[in-house]
Amino acid sequence: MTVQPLVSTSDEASPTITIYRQLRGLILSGQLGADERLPTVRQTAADLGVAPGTAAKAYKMLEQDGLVVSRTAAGTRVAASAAVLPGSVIRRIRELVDEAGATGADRDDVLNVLRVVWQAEAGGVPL
Amino acid sequence: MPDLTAFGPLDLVAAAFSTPLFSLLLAGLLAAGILIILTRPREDAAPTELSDDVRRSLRRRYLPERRTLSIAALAVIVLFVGELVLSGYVLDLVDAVAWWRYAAPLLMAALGLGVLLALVLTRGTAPSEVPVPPVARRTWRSFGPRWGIVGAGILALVLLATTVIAGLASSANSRGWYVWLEIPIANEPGVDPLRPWFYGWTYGVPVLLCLAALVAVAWAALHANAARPYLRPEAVVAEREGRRGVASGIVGVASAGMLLALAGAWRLIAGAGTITDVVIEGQNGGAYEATWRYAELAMLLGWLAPLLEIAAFVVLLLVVAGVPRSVQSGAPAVRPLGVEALR
Repeated sequence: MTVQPLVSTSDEASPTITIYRQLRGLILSGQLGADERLPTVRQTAADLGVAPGTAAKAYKMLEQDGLVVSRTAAGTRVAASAAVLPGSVIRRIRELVDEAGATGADRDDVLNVLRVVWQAEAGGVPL
Repeated sequence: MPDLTAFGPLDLVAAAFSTPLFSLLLAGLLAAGILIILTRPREDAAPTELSDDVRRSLRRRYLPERRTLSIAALAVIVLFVGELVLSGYVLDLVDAVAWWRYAAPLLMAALGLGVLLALVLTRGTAPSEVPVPPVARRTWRSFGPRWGIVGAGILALVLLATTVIAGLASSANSRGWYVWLEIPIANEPGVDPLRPWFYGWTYGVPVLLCLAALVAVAWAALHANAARPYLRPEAVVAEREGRRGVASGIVGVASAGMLLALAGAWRLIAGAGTITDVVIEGQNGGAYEATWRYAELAMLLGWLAPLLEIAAFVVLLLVVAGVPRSVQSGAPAVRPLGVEALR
């Protein structure tokens, strides 16, 4: 069965392509973890000031690429095969960054301490 | 003039806590102390990096919402105290079933949050000035104080359980109102039971309805606060802080409403608990023994009720004072390292 493209990829300026690329980038760079829920179509559309149908098309393209899995009632989630890290790890990293930001901690200090803790926890294996 | 030396310290404490106004007084002192601690200058405050235009946009969006929350919290306090004073000192409500007393804090909190919800959906949900690509899904839990939401959930469940259990234990009076607790005379089955006033269905049903409304409105307000688009990419960190403040206020007002309703319910239940192991000497020399097996539990709830009121008033007073107040006061809302910086 041949899957017809939802949007012509030659249309580089299309908002659908822009949304598709942004979300694809988030998944492939590891900013969205495995099985993590993507923003809702409505939220994406409202954030970017586009029609919900435009955002929905981008989600369909991600699904066709095997990057996300859509299930009724469970929303659209990042496919385990496409993600860099598990969703739980990504969530904790976000919380760490959030907490560091809220307390005014220095980014380099946080990263250095993370390295040291990782080394200690991993039994002396340096990062 | 009564001789106060005739009472022990416990009697005096019990007398003081018999009115929620004393709880409000204590809560006022506690809230003042907390505010003094919170308003000390913090060394880790970083200079803001936002332009005046962005700061103005942030204030235009979040300041009315924080003010609405403050007014809502104040309205809950004023309504509660007003009802207490009117029913206690002005109006004669001796035989009236004052069901509204227990539902009013919930209703007032729901109305206040309803106004906030309308504000968030209208003025607070303008399209982005510069679109901000979404990174994570934002839900009603995204900005809420995690433990605050858990606490509010537990409170809702405890209020629900208290109302249902007390309703099932209650009995109807001659007018069909479930406002009595029947305590049988154990050793004389033929004698009419004692019937103290109790937190029955007549009080409980309005509470349940208002509780459902409050939970629904609070959820909708948290969701609307989280789901709306950000104004501009450089304002995201400050907006997250602003939304956290709004979410904290929503959870605070909702929790305080539930605490006040629960405290009122526990006070009424404790009233029935005072009739424990009553022995009445009859005219013919016999004794009538009335025992309610949950009397000790009811008395314990009566002792805990003022603590709930104090907690509720402290939370409300802090919301009135606008805590936390980063966006509202223009205090540093942007730190050198924010969540967006690493994304």
